[in-house]
This record gives sequence, C-alpha cells and structure tokens, in this order.
Amino acid sequence: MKKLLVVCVMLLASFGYLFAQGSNESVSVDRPYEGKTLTVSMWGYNMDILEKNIITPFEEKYGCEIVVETGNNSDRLTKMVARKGNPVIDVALFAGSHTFKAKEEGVIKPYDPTLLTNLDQIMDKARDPIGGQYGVGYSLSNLGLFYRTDKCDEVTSWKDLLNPKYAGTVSIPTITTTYGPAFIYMLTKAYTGDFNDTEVGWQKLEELAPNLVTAYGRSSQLNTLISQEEVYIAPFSSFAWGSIDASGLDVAKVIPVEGLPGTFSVASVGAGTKNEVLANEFINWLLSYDVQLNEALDQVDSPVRTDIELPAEIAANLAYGDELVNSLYFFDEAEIAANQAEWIARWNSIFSK
Amino acid sequence: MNPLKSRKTLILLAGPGFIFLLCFFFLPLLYVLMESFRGVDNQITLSRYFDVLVDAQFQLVFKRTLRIALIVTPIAVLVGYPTAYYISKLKSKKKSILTTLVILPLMTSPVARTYAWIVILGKFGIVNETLTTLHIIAEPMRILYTETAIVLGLLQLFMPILILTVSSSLENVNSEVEEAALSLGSNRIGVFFRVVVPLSFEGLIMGVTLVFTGCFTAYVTPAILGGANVLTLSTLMREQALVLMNWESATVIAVIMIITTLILYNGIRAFRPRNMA
Repeated sequence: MKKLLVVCVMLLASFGYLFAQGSNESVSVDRPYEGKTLTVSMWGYNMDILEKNIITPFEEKYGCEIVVETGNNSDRLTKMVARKGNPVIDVALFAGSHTFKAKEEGVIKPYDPTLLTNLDQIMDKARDPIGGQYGVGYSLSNLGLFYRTDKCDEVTSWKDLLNPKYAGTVSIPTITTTYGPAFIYMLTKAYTGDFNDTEVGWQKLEELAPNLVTAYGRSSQLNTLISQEEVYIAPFSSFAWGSIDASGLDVAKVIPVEGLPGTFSVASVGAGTKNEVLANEFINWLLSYDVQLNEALDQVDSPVRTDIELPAEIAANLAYGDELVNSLYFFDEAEIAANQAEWIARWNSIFSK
Repeated sequence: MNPLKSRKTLILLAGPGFIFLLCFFFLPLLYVLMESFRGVDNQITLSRYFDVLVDAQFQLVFKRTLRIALIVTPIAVLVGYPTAYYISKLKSKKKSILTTLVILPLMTSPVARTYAWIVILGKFGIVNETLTTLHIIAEPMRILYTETAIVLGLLQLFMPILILTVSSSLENVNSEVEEAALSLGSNRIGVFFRVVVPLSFEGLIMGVTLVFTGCFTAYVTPAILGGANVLTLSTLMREQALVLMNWESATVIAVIMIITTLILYNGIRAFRPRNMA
C-alpha cells in the first residue's frame, strides 16, 4: 500500500512537471517569460554596472534572456533603420534627439502606459519627453564642465574654454554626440546672453577649433584623453563624472554661470517587436525604485524618480536635486534633429582644414 | 594529358573560390555601383557623383587620404624592401626568427595596436619623453590626432605585409643569377637594381598595391589616431552612412575609392621593366 502511494505521488509529480514544461508562460509566476529573448539597443558605457543593476536582475525575475546591441546613438539608429523590414530590436535606448529621429523613421512605437506602473513616480518632464508617448525618460544627464585644478585657474564660464592659456589642452564633444548641438547653444548663450543667435556660437567654435587637442566622440575617449593628461579642461556628460573623478588627477567640475544643458536618456519600444509586453516591462523596470537607486548609487545614471533620496556625497556627482534639475536647459529635440545635416556640414567645414 | 590542365579539374579547384567571390564580393560591389547611379526618382543619374565631387570638404578629405597613402607607401618600400632582401639571404633558423618578428604585429588586433600608439605618441608618451629628456625639444610636441600619427600607425600596420610579399618574391630569385651578374662585371649595387629588383618586381607591385590600397581605405587607424580633426575617406564615408544615413553619398565615395585604387594599381604596373610582359 505504501509502495502504491509513493508511486502515485511520483506519477503525479511527473505529470505536473511535464505539464509545466509544455507551457512557457505558465512555468512559474516568478519567471513568466522563460525562454524568451529580449533584444535591447543601448550604450555600452558602464556595461558591467548596467548588467549588475539592470540586466541580470531582470533576467532572473522574468526568466528571459537579454541580448544587447551596443554602440553610440547614430550607429544604433542607423542599424534599426537599415533593418526596418526585419526588425530585431525590442527596446531602444537613445538620447532625446535620436529618439525623435527614430520616431520620424518609424522604428519605434508608443509605449503602453497601462504597463508602465512606475510612470507616476517619475518627474513630469520625463514621462513623454518627445511627445506621442514614443519614449519615456529613464535617466537624466547634463553636460558639465570639468578642469584640472592643478593646471588651470578657477573655471567659472563656458568662455574659459577659449582662454588662450589652455590652448592645446581642450576637448569638446563632436557635433554628432548627444551633447554636440547643446554645446553650440551654450557657447551662444555665453557670448550673447540667450540661445537665439547660434551663428555666434559657431563663430566661437571656429575660434576654439585650433586650440583643441581633438573633439571626442565617446565619453570613454574623453576618459582616455584625461588619464593621458592630454586634456585639462572639457565639457563632459554627467554620467562620466565617476570615471573622471576616479582618474586620480586633481579634477573639479563646475556649474558655469551661463548654466548647464540637460537631456533625458529615453527608452522606447521597438516598432517591430514581437515581445511588446516584455518590452514595456523592461522599460517599467528601468523606472523601478531599486534600479533607479542602484544606478544612482553607482553614479551611472541620475534618477528620474521623485522618491529617490541620495546621500549628499553621491548626489553632488549626479544630475540630481531640485535646484540643479530645475536650472537645466532642455533644448527642442525636433529642432536639433532638423538641424543635424546642416550642423554636421558646418562642423566638418571648420574641422576638416 | 595532365589532369591539372583539364577544364573539369580547373572548375573543381577554382569553382568554390570563384562562387564565394561572386556572392560575397562581386555581386555586392555591383549593387553598390548601381546604387551610386540611382537618383531621387530611381532614375539613372550622375548627379550624386557631381554633388560629391564638387563638395569642398570631399576634395579636401580626398587629397588628404591620397597624400597619406602616397607618403606611407614609399616609406614602406624604402624600409621594407631592404629588410625583405636581408631576410631572404639569411640561413633558415635566423630567417625563421626574423620572419616571425615581422609577422608578430599581424597577430595582434589592429585596434589594440592602434590604441598602443596613443600611449606612445601622447603628450607624455615615449616619443615626447625621450625627445624632451634628450633636450631635442623643450616642450612635448602634438603628434597624436595629426596626419603624422596616422602615417606612423599605417606604417606599422602595413609594412609587415610589404615585407612578406616581397620576401616570397625574393625567394624565387636564384642566388646564382646574382653571382653570374657579379662575374660578368657588375657591382653589388648594379646587381641589386638591375637583377634582383626586376626579378622580384611582381612581388613588389603586389606589396605596393596592398600597402597603398590598405592606407587609402583604412578606417580604424585614422579614426583612433586622427580623431575628429583629421577625416579620411573611410571616416567620411562612415559619417555619411551611419550618422547622416546618406547611403547615396556613401556609395559614391566607396566607388570613387575603388576607381582610385584601380587607377593607381595600373599606374604602378606601368613601371614594370619592359622585358617583363
């Protein structure tokens, strides 16, 4: 009798296991997407920390595998457009202007606000930064200004980049990067008081060009230039401050008198995704408390959630705090996208001499 | 009948390689060529070529790319050919060691090799530190992110290729031919220029072609060592394709690069000695 009972229990357990294997969605409440693959287009900067804070925990929670395609904004957007007929990207992370272009190219689609349960917890500006719910800002960054305190006098203004004393030790972001156009706007403001007459900004860039070591295309390139002591003063993206500060050199960052430009890193659902629900879940995950907090504590991404409290020493190194966030200038992404071809041609005419 | 001369054998041996080249080289090349002539309304037009060729920036970048290739190639020949000749005269053990040293850089990733130049050519790199220590210069020079840096990087990248190409050609030059020339009254320099070089000319042409083409079409080295300041045709093409999504201009630039290298190749072959048809 006892033997019969044991055999029945084993048979029942086996049937239960077999039944569970037959249905991916019902394997486990905790890992509802077992066997699914989510392809995310994102930057590769700080990838080890992104894996720790975002990718691995999401894979463990949802049971799926995340495949990342890394690169800068332009390369990844071009790939998505080239593969429009056979899309593979489920979630795309771009800077605001490139998200706008992605929307125009038809490679992203609106997110599902009913699935983004964390939407109410983030700042208003971040909920729909380019309109039509085509993306949500999951991280805030700003373009800062850093300098070597042992090589430069105190820096207080964007104009200090043109100080002849620093000739040959300056770098700036190229026009094709996230903050390339914003830098032109800040030069304009520094010399005219507002952002209207960008011709002045371009003239100042032309004056600055001979004094540059080079213009950098990636934050990692700037890190190399700083660590090689080629560059003593440069604009930098706020998410790169941790690496710059860790260089061991005497560096300081400053909020120039003219202010700082800001932008959101925007997460969007890929237009051809076959995993629409999972893609929205991933974007919601980026907005979750734990991810936002951990990314901030590791000084990778500044949070957009309004309920994140950070220690003062961490907060000082991020785009964080009402005073800073409210002072940031957010430029019109549609205008930046519209100007892109002309501004790149103008840039090349200055630098290809 | 020699089985190697039969058509069937020829097809069997060369066929797979030819099919591979046809599918993955000639057909994509043909596609690129056709795209470069396609206008806005899918009409056949030369307008895209006109737009690119009259562009001042393209002209500047073209001249720069050509200049860099024309600087690197003769330096590679002047340094690489004597090196290859010396290696060819060595006994097998020393020859093997030196050949390995020549090949060694080719076993390293070109990206890793190029990044090493950043350390060497930087403001506080080995070159500047040596020159300032020896009081040859008072202040570190700007070498990185200039054409000079690109030239040095490309020389390191392509000189081994020229040495290997010329070496294999020199292996076919019988040393008895040189002895015969000497015995007939020629001096060493005469033997070298009138016997050795002509007999190894095919290898030299191949080496020069590979070096020039490589320099003219290089991307990684100019991108890393030249930076945003020093665009070459490859980096310009990348910008057109991947940043501006202007595939039409990118294909035109690609075709112009191909035509330029073909013209140079045939131009180089025009210098072969007359008795070598």
